[in-house]
Amino acid sequence: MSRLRPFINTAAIVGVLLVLWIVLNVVLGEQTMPGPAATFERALAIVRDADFGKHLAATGAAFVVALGLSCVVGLVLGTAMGTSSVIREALEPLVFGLLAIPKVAFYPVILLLFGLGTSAKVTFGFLHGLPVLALVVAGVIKNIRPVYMRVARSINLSRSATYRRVVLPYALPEIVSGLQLAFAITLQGVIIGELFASKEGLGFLLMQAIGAADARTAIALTLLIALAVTLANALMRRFHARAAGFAPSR
Amino acid sequence: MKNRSNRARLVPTVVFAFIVGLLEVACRAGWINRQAVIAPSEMVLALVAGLQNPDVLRNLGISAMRVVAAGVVASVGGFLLGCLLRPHFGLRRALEPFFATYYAVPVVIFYPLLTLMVGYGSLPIIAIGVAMGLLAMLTATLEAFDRVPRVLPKIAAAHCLGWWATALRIRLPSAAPDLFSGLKVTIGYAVVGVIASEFLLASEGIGHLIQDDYNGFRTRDMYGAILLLVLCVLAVNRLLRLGEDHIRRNRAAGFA
Repeated sequence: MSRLRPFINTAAIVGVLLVLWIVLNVVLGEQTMPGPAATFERALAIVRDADFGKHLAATGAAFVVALGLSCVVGLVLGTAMGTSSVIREALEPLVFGLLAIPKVAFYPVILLLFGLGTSAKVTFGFLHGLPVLALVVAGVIKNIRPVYMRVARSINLSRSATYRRVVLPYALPEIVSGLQLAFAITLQGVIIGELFASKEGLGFLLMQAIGAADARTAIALTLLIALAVTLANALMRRFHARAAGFAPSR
Repeated sequence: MKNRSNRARLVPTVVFAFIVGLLEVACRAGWINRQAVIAPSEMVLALVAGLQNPDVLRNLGISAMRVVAAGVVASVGGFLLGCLLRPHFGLRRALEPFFATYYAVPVVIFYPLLTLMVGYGSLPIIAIGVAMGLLAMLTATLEAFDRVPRVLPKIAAAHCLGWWATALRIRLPSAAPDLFSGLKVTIGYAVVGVIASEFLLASEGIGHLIQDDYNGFRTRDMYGAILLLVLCVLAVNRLLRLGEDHIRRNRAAGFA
């Protein structure tokens, strides 16, 4: 029974959300707030549509590139900020600044620089994901227990072996947590980028639906995105649990 | 120690000045398309011109009012919901996947829906700001109270403090730094929600002004408005960070 409890709780939350949805549907009407059945039906129709694959691939490709870039640059930048106090002092306020400012304000600049298309979406997603990952990585490396580094030095581990065998296993759970956060934020960046600056992708479909006041399609698309993210998040939580088991004690 | 603190201030300033200088040279030398990006010195001139324009100030004021309203509602609502949810660990566990999903869903798409529900104007924009910020405050409240050292409520019990007195005099001061961090993030999200909504459909606000300048090919004015917005956000963020540091120092001094 105790094993089933989390599933029962989750099912209860989904049930409450569905009831709220139905209440809103009854109060606001089908045009403004389509009900669950009609929305699921629309979601299925969208998935079966021949063009959906093209839009999904466009969003997916932009997202993978943006997240990949955020990971690579974020890891390098975060490691540099975590290990060198000079680099940290030089760059940390700028990265914090990038995190704080609303990136959406830069969409006209990105459009002017890259035009409508994948590059603009990727840049948008990258700007969202990069500061999160860089700050998480810098934070965890900066706070690594000094005893681990002393042991690495005492057994003459090379710099690369120290990173591979000490720093990475220590930082992995936090890096995976940061990745989870960056995953959601980068995807949001790509989709917001598509809302404003794209001719294809799920965000573009959303914008089309908003423009046509087609609430059913807009909510169905949002539901599809939420389902995909929940699934990906569940997978990452499993990976996070493994990474936590792999890491040394703190 | 003082040298280190001076260096910590000086180094980022030098790096920032170098980046701005490089951009200035790149724009002046024509390495960057001047139709797309104007030189930083021109941006500053556009900002000064914008500050003398009553229309720009009016739009900035409208956005600021919306952000304040959204920030207050999201912070208070998130804090209260967090307090209500905190003791229910099973429910919290079940809600975690929903929390993780929340920030990947572009909440701004509900703006048109909200306009149908409550009409045009500031209300749907504030509602989006609230929707963006509420969860940040809720999760920060949960984490802040979870981090209160277990020994503190035990000491309160030993001194026969009641539930309210323990909450107000022990738990709240101990959780204050993390709550303030949550407030900072909440306001950040409220700004994103408000500005993004203004970009989408609004007829007023700094987001709408930037969008309008972009559509009207008034690149200079657009950069002036963007710079104004960025500077305002950074100033608010700096104030909040100073407040957070002050609270953390006070708490550390209290424990010492």
